[in-house]
Amino acid sequence: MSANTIVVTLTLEKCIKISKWKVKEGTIVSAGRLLLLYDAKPGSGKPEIQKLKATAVGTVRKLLAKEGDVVQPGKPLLELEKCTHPTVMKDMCAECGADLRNEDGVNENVASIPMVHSIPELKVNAEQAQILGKADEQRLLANQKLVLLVDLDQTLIHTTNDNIPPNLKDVYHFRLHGSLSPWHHTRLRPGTKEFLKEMSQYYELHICTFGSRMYAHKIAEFLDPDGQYFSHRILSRDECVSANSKTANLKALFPCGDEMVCIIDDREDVWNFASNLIHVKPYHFFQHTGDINAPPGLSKQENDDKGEYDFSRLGDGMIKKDIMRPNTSPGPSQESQKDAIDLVKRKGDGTCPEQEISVSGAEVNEKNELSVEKTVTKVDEEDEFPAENIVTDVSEKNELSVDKITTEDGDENGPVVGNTANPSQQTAETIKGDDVAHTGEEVQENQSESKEDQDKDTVVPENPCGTCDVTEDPEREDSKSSDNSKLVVEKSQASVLENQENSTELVPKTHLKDGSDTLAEEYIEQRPNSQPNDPDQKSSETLDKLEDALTKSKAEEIEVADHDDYLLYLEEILKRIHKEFYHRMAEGLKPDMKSIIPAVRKKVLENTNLVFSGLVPNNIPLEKSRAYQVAVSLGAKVTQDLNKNTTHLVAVRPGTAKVNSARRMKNVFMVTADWLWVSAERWERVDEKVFPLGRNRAGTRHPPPHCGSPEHTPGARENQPQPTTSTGRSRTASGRFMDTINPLLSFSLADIADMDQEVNDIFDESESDGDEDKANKKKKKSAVPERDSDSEEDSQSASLTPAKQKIDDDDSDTSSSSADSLSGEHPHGWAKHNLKRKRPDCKLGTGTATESDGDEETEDMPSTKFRRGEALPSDLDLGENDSDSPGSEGPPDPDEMDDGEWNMMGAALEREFLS
Amino acid sequence: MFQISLEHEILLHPRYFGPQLLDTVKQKLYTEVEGTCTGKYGFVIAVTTIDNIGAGIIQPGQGFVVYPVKYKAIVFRPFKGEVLDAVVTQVNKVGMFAEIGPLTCFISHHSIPADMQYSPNSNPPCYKSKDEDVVIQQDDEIRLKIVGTRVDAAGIFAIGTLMDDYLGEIPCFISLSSMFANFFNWY
Repeated sequence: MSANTIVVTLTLEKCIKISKWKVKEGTIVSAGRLLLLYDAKPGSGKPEIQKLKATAVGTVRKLLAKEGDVVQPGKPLLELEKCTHPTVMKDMCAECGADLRNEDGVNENVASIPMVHSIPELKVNAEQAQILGKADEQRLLANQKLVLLVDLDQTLIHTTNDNIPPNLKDVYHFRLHGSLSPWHHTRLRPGTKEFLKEMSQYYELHICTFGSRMYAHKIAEFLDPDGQYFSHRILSRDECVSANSKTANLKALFPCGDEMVCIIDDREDVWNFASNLIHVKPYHFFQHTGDINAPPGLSKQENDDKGEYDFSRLGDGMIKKDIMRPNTSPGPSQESQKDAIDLVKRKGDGTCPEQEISVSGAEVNEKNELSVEKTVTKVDEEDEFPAENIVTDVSEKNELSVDKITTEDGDENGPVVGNTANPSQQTAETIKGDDVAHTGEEVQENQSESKEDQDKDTVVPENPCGTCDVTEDPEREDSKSSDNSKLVVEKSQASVLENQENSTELVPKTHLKDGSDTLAEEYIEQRPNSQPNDPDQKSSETLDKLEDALTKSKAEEIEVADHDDYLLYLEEILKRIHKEFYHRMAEGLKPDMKSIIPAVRKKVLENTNLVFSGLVPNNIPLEKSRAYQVAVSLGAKVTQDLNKNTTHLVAVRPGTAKVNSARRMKNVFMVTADWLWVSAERWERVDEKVFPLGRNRAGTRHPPPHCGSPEHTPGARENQPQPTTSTGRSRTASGRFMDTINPLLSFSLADIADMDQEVNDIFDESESDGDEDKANKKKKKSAVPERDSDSEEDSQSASLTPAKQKIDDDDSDTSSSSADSLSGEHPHGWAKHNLKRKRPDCKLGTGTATESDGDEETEDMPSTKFRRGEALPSDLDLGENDSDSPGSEGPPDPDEMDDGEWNMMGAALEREFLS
Repeated sequence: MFQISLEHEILLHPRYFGPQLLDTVKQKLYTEVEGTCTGKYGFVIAVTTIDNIGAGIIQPGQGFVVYPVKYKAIVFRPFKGEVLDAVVTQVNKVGMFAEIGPLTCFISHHSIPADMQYSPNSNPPCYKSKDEDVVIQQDDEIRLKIVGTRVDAAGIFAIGTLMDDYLGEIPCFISLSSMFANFFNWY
């Protein structure tokens, strides 16, 4: 009988007869609860029924007497187990009401598992959690369902705090904390509601987001007004155990294991790259907004590069308004010049702008149609026309929509808005603007071979400013006009798609025409309301108004063409997974989503044998390339060279040796890299005909995913739309791969800087109390004086010098940023620090870093250290040291031997990284 | 629910000195006191009478005046063992949450009669007995007994149980809790 059990005995002086038990075994009783009815006077003719009530809280474990028994005084009646507090709410037992803060005894099975999504205070103990989890599992199996954890931001929705036009269709506007809090604008991914509806038949849906609780519930309201999909299964940041990871909560939510849990999220890192995660293509709708609820320190970079929807252009325009015009007008391309002139002209005479605009609108319209026709008919010779057209198209559209936005904003949110439009972004925009101009130029130059993609690619390296922004630019341009580029590709080949795309292209233009009649009225109407927020914008304001009205057309709500159809594919993927799970279940296996999801993915390109051409840089082994990882994770076999089994040749450009030899082979599909990316994105073998390797057409070449890429912050991977999603999903964790090859690259520059700073701080600290250092040093090693006297130890360390020297040279070869990052990341910060300190020494010392130099250097090393505290060796040149290696930075060196070893290790590591 | 005498000090800015002074004091009392929660007296629901507004004392160096006010108020202080009517706000697998006016109460599924089973598939989720003649779901009115309370700065939280006679769902006829709800709407 454990200490937790109490035996309730009869305390009365006389015998009683139990007439009826009011509890049974297992009942949880609280104090005052009726336990049994008894006859106080057994034997006498007239029963005198009395009640016995419980005096303590607990669970009835055993009834020790039966009904009708006569119990002697002092005999046990029942065993009562004290409440184990299996459920705790706010430190109060939810069974017995006991205040657990007052209870001093250590409860071994204390309730610690927050089982309910939205109420972290409510906790149950492991036993209860198992029971509840089991019940959940049974229920799911009975209903043939699985669990789907759904992320919100950038998976199902995109939310921005920026100012956007108030009348966009399918955009929700809300404030979380009263009238003073900022507005949130949320756009649901196209098809979200259908997706949820469909998925709720197969999955129990849970929301798992890093948004605040208010936000999560608000969004859930939009997604699921009746609460039929998510109910209360909403996990938000407020309930998250860890600020950077969602994984920690899984255990609590699914105490019986996550075999039935599938996750969809746009980022893997928060799930620790779990294999039951389907990495979805991030949904991006509003420009300049990433995930507003990204975990701290892990926020994505601004990924403006994936504006695959017209609104991105709308958004673009918002900022471009001021910049774009000056940029386009001197634009070298004839078309854009013409356009700009047109614009200027229109701006100039604000008196009767309607005609002007309707004319220009028609012009554009015509142009467009023309080009479309042209491209259709002359497939191969689409030279400058379509490209140019697109360029102007974009700018034109930008102009229109942008203006609209600014003016709208002005009306809606007061005069502040238009100007608050993110001055920081303007720079980026300027670059973009330049780029557009560039492209125009390119188009003309490369008339013969001009393909949109190629152009974009060629623009990049030529771009003089080598900042991150610029490197992103091709991407941005690319995806921004991705429908354009696709357009070009598809125009020439798949005419079905083309039409569709074209029609969307044309929509705004037709609006232009339609709107021109209503325009005047609207213009007049809006005029009094509009408050020009900038005097110099005034002139353009009138124009804006008009264009505004134009774009608006007759419909009040702007229907933004959003080509994102990813959810359809995702739906298909999830259905497949569900089917597979229950298929295995039926076979009597115990399936686990962690193996099923990769397995399903493996089937995508089953039975294909790929050969890459131009996709993998020469210096990277095939197995380590991202393309390889992607392909393998899809179940394809990849070989280095063509053989008789080869089914596909994935090439970036035609004309390579492999392409030529593949041409001679039968039954080999020659496709662009896009084919692979799209297959990976959709988890299906895309029709090869859509991505043929054309004569002068390149597949979208994404920056090779090798480690040298300048931006390898965690978010950087997401910056590359297609390869990201694909790698992300790869089960061999190809996304992780580059992290493993060089862990440093998984840190952002800021992180590394932080770490550097930290190390420095530590050194500074120890520096400041130099006396202590001295003492420590003395204590730690007696080697100190030996070194001073140039003993054998010194020579030992001297033998290390060449290696160090080499590293130093290596370091100086690499870009400064990488050197920094390495130093920040060095496993042994001290050693690295020493290297860093030495570098200036050796550079200053002599031009030729000889062996002796190195010797001297190592001799210097102790000197710099001991200079601070200990006896100084007289033969060292202190002056140089003083200037070169400031003592304040120097780490207190515990011991030369140690240092040498560390340096060795550091050197080895570094060589590994640099090689 | 009790009506008791309470005291409160009102700090008044000199700008309110004038003919409306006492009105301001009263107004301030209402806003400062009603809806608050103290550990000793529980929730102050409403001030019923103001018995006495004492002499104001000017704070040295500031000009603010402190008025000691004696008033009577209806307070709601839940006690262990008290039986109350509540409105169910959320039902989950661990139990259910209910509200008694300003008081939130949790009832563990162990404290719900064993014949009531959690049914997550219905929308909204509910606890129902096997023959489905008793169903407790969100927005239903239940009668519960309080087994423990937690008083902290933010308010009072209670643990309840349905494991006793006459507890559980309240049949649709007039229920106290709707009156209670109305009362709170009104105040």
